[in-house]
This record gives sequence, structure tokens and C-alpha cells, in this order.
Amino acid sequence: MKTGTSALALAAIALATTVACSSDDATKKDVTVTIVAYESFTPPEGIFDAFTNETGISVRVVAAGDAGEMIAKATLTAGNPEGDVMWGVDNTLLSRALDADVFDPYVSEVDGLDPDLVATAADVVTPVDYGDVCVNYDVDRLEQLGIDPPTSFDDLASPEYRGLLVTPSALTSSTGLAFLLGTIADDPDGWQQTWRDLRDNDILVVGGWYEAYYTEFSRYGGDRPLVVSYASSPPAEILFADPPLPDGSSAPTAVVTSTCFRQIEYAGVLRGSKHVEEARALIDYLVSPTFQESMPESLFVFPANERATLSDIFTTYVQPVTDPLVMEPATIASSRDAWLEEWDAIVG
Amino acid sequence: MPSSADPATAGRGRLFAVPGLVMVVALVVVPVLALASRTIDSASLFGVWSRPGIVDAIGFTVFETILSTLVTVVLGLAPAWALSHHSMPGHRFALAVTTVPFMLPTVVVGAAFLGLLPGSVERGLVAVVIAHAYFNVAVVIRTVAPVWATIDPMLVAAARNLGASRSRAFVSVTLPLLKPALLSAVAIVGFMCATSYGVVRMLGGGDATLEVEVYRRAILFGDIAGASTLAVAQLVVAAICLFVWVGKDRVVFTESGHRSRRRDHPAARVVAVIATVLTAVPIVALVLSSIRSRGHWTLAGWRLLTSDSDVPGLQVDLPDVLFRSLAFAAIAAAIAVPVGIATSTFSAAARRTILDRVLLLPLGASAVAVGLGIVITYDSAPFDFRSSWWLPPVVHAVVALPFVIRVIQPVQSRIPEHLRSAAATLGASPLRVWATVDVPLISGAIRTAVGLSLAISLGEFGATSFLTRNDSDTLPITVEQLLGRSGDLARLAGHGVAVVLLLVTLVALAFTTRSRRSWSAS
Amino acid sequence: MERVVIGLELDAVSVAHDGRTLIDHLSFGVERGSTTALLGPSGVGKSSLLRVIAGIDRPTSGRILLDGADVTDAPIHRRRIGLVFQDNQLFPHLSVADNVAYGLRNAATREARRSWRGTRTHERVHELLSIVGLADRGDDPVGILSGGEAKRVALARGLAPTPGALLLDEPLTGLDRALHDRLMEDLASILRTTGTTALIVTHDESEARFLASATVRLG
Repeated sequence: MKTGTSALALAAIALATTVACSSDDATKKDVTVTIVAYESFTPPEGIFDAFTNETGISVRVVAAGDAGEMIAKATLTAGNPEGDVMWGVDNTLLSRALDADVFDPYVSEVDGLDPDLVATAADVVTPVDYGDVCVNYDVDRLEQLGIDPPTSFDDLASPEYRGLLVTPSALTSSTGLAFLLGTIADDPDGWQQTWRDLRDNDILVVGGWYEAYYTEFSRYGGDRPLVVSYASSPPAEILFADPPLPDGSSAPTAVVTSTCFRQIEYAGVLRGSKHVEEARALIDYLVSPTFQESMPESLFVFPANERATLSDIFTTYVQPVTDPLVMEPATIASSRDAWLEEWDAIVG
Repeated sequence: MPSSADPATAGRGRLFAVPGLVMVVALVVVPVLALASRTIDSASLFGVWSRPGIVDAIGFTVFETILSTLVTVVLGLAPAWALSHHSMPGHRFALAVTTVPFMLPTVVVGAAFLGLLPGSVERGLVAVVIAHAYFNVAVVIRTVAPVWATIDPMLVAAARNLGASRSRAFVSVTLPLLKPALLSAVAIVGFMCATSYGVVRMLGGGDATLEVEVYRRAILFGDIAGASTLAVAQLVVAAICLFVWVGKDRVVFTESGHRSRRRDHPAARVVAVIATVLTAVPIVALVLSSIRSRGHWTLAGWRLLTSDSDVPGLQVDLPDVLFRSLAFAAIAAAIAVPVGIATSTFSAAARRTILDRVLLLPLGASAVAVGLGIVITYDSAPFDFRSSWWLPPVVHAVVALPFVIRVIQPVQSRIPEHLRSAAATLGASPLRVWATVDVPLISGAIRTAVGLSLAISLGEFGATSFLTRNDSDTLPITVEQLLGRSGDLARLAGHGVAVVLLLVTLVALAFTTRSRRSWSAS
Repeated sequence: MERVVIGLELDAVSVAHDGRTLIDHLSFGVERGSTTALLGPSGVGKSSLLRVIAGIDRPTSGRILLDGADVTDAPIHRRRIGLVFQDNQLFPHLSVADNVAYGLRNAATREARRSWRGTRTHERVHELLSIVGLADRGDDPVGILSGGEAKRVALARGLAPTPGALLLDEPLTGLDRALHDRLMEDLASILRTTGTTALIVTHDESEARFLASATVRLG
């Protein structure tokens, strides 16, 4: 790479002279901690003001791509990170980050953190939120068809529900992957048969969540009343309904709770950060009730801190998922590739 | 007109080739190779090829690319002919509308498109080919129509007068004269289709291109080494294609440099109207989806975007996002257009088009690998550019460059050399010759190039989506964010932002489309 | 006494351009094998008339006859009326020889095409290039030809398929004096040798007198 390096240097100089100024300001009276996040990390404006006022630490959020893209970049830049704190690595991806030694271990000890969630974090990162990927159904459409909502994976594979389900592909969508993992967690030895049955039952596999939900799901004009989406989708259907739903009406969609696969998201200190102490303080803030209470309505996830109180929308319209399907990050890591290839062979 | 390069002229031109080359090398070639050298080991180098799906992906990529390119070019010829009639009323509008699909984020137009396809071809090869044709037909129109406009209709009449039937005159006279433009179009469309990600993911129905495989390996399987291997192979094949292409290429300089007087052909109007309407149907569907919900007309999405609304989870600071997108676009155009002019000047002086074909390479490279490569290449001080605000627009400029060149180069190559010589004998320095002869004569083309770069930057969602941005969302990213959430308002607002993107793109294209006078009057 | 045979005949032909009538009910005939000059100042529609006769544009009224047959509605590539354009319109992507051969390769019937193909085409092209004095320039690209040479190639190309009539639009305009005179003599002799029925548009009286046996005035 000798020539490559010199060409690179040349290019870099050219770039540096083309655009003379960079946004990094050299004058740092106060420390700024940078959060690296996925693109859809949209915390409410001003949510970090309290933290800054209290500690004098400023917070900057940089974002790009989805969680998978974020991890791919993080594994490549391990030790020389793009920021100090990473938000949003989940249990389907965590092991990849651990293998690449992306994090400087830190688990927050803030009061109220769900110990079950903390137990999944390998003592390296701190759980910040969780959400469930579940089969959603269009309440009205099923009623019109005179079909009861399904209650299990087996139902989905039975003739009554033939041609009703659409899912994003596990090969191109993290939501699709979570659904696949759910079927595996549900029946570790027989999931292949479940999928053969689903395939024979005319399941529709599409590229991404957007097409599944907004083009194929019957609530949005498609002809499939069952769709793989999130446990937080039904409250969003009420909160964002247009025209607005009358007060007291029930959610137009609901989830099949037995199909829910739990996705846990973590935050961690990136190895190579020059502000480890400040980064740890920020992670403590991220799991404090102040921040955690803002998340359900801005990120549509559930707080990892049990002391955070949920707003009415979430207490009223979210169906409690008492017994979600779960899977150890290590198990996911060791078998994911083989599962995906098997799945592709069955469905593809 | 001398057919071979005058050494002095070529020498002068060589400097002009530098900026374009540096950009492509620095932002595409080096990053991909750096990624490869960092990750590839012998296991992945050979192992990845035996992975299930790879062989299928290669086969599908080749087949889909050939078919898509063929269909796109053939379908594009009719509107290209029609839109070479500059005197036609609504010409600018038709040109802008037919270009829009190329600029918009695939997911948005793709969804509108999906809704319009008959169920039987909704997913699979046919859907992919139709979608590629729909998205890329603009490339054929944009590269072929300007050249077609310079073909004197009397030249075709001469062929007919010598006994050639309509079809033979087309094959033996028009086509050979369009050949350089067609080769250009084939190269661009071919690269776009070969590296297609969004369309294939959405409409492929299980079939994957190599680009989708690269994404899967890198992002879903975490096998970055395997992904890099595929990406390097892809880059090498792209480079070979370019090399073969350059070898076959011969620049034809038509005798008449002026835009020909072309009478308004009634069939041209019909074709233009049909092309515009067909292009507009998915776009209209998109606009409707921002104002229609559950059988009702609604402005709720637009209210959310235009007022200081505080619907939790759907906070969009539209003016801010719009401003940033426009600023990025302006920077991208400010880089791409001068560099494009310089490259065209080099090509015109050297009477060669090797360089402008080499600058096509970014379109043939894997966006995933380029994005990841940039991240690891520019990662240490003083060249840690990873979260620099200017990196995305600079990458946009690299993507826009081949299109800028294709607009400017054909016009610039037709400037008679004796005009430059005349200026030089009057004592003008080479730079002054360039500023006083070349630039004024290509001013119309420059305007078009500015419009195209603006539009490409506004809609770019490839490699740049991997670049970390400092709290700075652009229009296409905001669309993705909103359309990643459930609920009517999220959908309405997401499509609303897409409509804003559409309108800004249309305005950029319409206001910068060459008006009829610019070249013929000069 | 020998009977005059009309080769090309116009019968009450009217020509309009951009909705303006340029030529109103014009009738005349060109004797077979002879040359007629069409004289008139610029802007009276001489070139427009040639395009109408060649079939590129349509007359607003009237008939055009070639050797007695009505060709008014015949498609441009079948009416066998050649046109040498004022600006030549040589095919820039073809060599000199291929320009001349172009019409031969379009011969109407399959048989004719077969017989022209190969050596016969080659011989015919060589013959024509010899007539116009460019026998050794066949392989040159047309881009490097001088004005006079380009005009000769255009002439050879027009003559190659032996058209029933040949129309020449200002064939000698824009050439320098010496070249003009030489080419004018050549043109006269070529048209005579080949026995071509020709209609030459010009605005120069002396040219008309030298080249043509009859004159039609417009405007």
C-alpha cells in the first residue's frame, strides 16, 4: 500500500486545501462528549440541557445509518472511535461489537435499572431500552373476515391464516431478523418446520419494514391483515391517527404477544475515548429517569429503568408483553450466519 | 479541425485533469483498497466465493444489468428524440419531470411505483427491470437528447434522398452519430443497474445483486472481509469495463457545431407528453400519499411540517433540514461543476475521453465499501475527516461529477479550435482563452450541470448514508426517519418531506435547464 | 424534328413555409438529360422548392412528375430525385468512399443491392470519384476535405445511384474565384457526360448561362 498511502496523503492535502475549515473547534473550555447513534435516534430537543447544567459537559450527537451500519463502522474503528458513547447497539448485534473490542467496559449502577436487562449486557455495556418485534394485526380487517386474532406461531402456519402475513426479509431487515430469531427462540429444534409451514401458508417476504407495513399491511391499503412490526406500533396508530380517533376508542391494531421477540438496546463507552469519566457520567444520565421518561414517545421504546413512569398512551394502549421471547447475544452470535443461510434456503 | 492532439494543447490540458482524478482516487479508489487491505485475509479472499448466494448474485447482477440497460436505452430513445426538439412548448418542464425519478430516494418512489405495478410482476426480475428503466431513463434523455439536437435533420434527409428507408437512415446515420452519447448512457445506466441496491432490495423478491450481497455480508453478517473481497472484485470488473469501453470509443465530431434548426414535429409532442405523464404517475401518487389518509383529504402531515409542532417522536425542523440540504447541494455543485469543466477542458484539449470515463468509476463502486472505506481511511489527525460537516457534500460532488462532464463535454468538444487560436493570436493567455472563449460558449451547459449536481446532491443516499453526520439531517434522511415509524401522521409527514424534496429537485432542474437560445445565439 | 422529352415537370406547384406562401402555382419542365437553372434573389423560396421536389417537404398544391410519372406522393427514398445540398450534408462518420457508396447500398430491390455489393460497388465508387477528380481520396475522412473537395464528393454521392433527376442547391456558392471557375467547368462536363436531368439553383446569371440550357426565374 506504499503508493496508496502517498496518493492518500496527496488526496488528503488536496481535500484539506479545498475546504479549509473543519467544524472541530480547537477552543474547548468545557468538555464535549459525543454520542454515536443510529439515524433514527431522535431524542427531544433540549433533553441534554439538564445534564450540561449539572455537570458542565456538553453533548453532541452524531448519527448515520441503522444499527447494523453503525456496528460495522464501529468494529472497523475500534480503538479510534468516532465519538465517546455509543447509543443503540442491540442484543442481535452486541456480540459483534464485543468480538471487535469496541467498548471500554462500563455498566451504570443507577437505581432502578432492570436487573434482567443488565444481566444480558456481558458486564461491558448498559441496557438503555427495550422493545419487542411482534406480529401486529389489523383489528377491523380480521373482524370483517370473521377470523379470530392468531395467538401463536402455529396459528400463523394454519390454513385459517393462509396468505394473511407479511414480513420483512431476515436477510435485508433487522426487524425481519428479529422475527426469525423469535421463531427460533420459540422452537429451537423445530423452527425450520415452522418456516416451511409459513412458506407453504403463503407468507409474503418483502425487502424492508416500510414495504411490509405501508404497502402490504391492510391498514395501509395492502391486502395482508397480519404484519411483522413492533409492540409500539399500536400506540403509534392512536397517537398519530389522522383523522384522529375519538377519545376512548381502542387501538386499530394489536399485537400477538406470544410472537414478541425482545430487542434490548445498550449504550457503552467507546474504547479509545479521551473522555471516559465524562462518557460514564453521560451513560448514567441516559439511564436516569429524566432521560428514560422521554424515550417512549420520542423513540417508541420502553425504558430500561423501572423507575421511569410511562405516559398514559403507553400505559393504556400498549399490551403488556409479559413473557417475551429472548435470546442470549452469545447464542445469536454463534449461530446467526448458519440460521440465515438455512432460512434463505427455506424461504428464498 | 485537426484530428490528433496538438502536443502543446495536450500539455496545457493535463493540469485540468488533476482535480477530478484526485477526487476519485481519494474518495473511491483509496477507501475501497484501504478497506480491503485492512480486512481481507486469504480465508475471505477465497472463501467468500463459496458462500451460498454469491454465484446466484453474480449471475443475477450480470443478467439484470444487461437486460435493464438494454430496456432503458431503447425506451429512452423516443423521449430523447422528442426532447431534442427545443422549440417545443413545455420542453423544460418535460425535461425536468422525466429527470426527477433519477434524483429521488428509491424507497419513496419505489413504494409509489410498487403500488402501480400489476400484482403478477410486483416482485422479481421484471419489476426490477421496469423500475431500473423508470429511474434511469433520465440518463439516456440527458446524454442523448443534447447530441441529437445537434444532428441536422437535413443530414437524415440526405440519407433518405439517397434511397434509405426511414429505419435504414436511422440505423446508418442517426445511430452512428449518437454513438458516443449512447455509449455514455450505456456506461452510466449499466453501472447504476449493476450496483443497484434499493430497487433490488425492494422489488427483487429474493433475487440479490452483488451490491445487496456486499451489504448483507458487511452489515447483517458482520463479515466485512467477505464484503470487501466482493467490493474489490466489483471495482476491478468496473475498471475493466471502463478500459474496454475506452478502447472501443471513438469521438465523432459532427460537422455542424450549432444546434440545428429543427421544426417542431407533432409526433415529438405526443411522445414528450406520454413520457412526461408516465413519469409523473408515480410522482403524483407520492404527492397524494402526503395529503390522503384513510379515505380523507388531510393537511395534518403538512401542518406538522410547517408549524412548530411538538408531536412527540415526529419533531421535524423542516426549514433547518431544507436549508442544510440546499447548503450541501450548493457546495457539491460548487465543487463538481468547476472540476467537471476542468476535466472536459482536458478531454477537449487531448481529444480523448479516457478521463471522463475513469471518473465514472464511483458509479461502479460499491456504496457500502466506499462509505466504510472513507471512515477508516480518514481516521487519524490531521486527516480525521470522519464527522466533518463538509465530507457528505464532497462525496456528493464525486457522484455528480460524471453527469456534469456528460453535460459539458459534448458542447465543449464542439468549440472550433480556430476560435481558441484566434483568441491566442490576439494575445490571450491560455487561461484567458479558456475564460473568454470556452466558458461563455458553454454557459448554457454549465447551467444544466449546476442543476444536475444540485439535484443529485439533494437526493444522494448511497455512500453518504454511511458517513456520520453531526446532528445534521438532510431531506432524504428525514424521509427515512419518518417513514421508519408507524402511524398515519408519520406516513403523511414522511411523504410530505419527500414531496418537498421532489419540489426542490424540480425547481433546481427546471430553472437550470438550458434555454433554447444559449448555444445557438452565441 | 426531334420531340422534346420532359424529364422533370412541375405542374402548378405551390410552396409555403411557416404559413407564408413562397411559391404560387409554378409550372415548368426540364428536358430529359439537360440542365435548367432556377434563378432568383435569396429568400424567394428556391431552396424550399428543391426540398419539395426532392420529397423532404410537401407542396401545398400541385403535382411533380418524373419521366411522366406522378411522384408527388412517392416517399422521399423511392422517388429517385437526388439533391445536392448547399451545405453538402456529407455523413461525418463515413469516409469519402463510403459517402459515395451510401446511395448504391440503398438500391431499391434486393437483386440490385446484391449486384451493387462488393466489387461492383467498389468499381462504381472509383468511377465516380475519378469523374470528380478525387480518385485517390476514397479512404479519407470527410472532415479533412476542403470546401471544393467536399462539394465534389457531394456531387459524386448524388450521382452514384443514377437518379432520374438531380437537384443542385447553389453548388458553386462560397468558393474562391479560381475554384469556382474550375468546378463550374467540371460540373458542366460531368452533367453532360452522365446525361443527367438537372435543376440548378443559383443567383448568378453567368453561372446560369454557362451551366444551363434553360432558365426559370423566381421573384
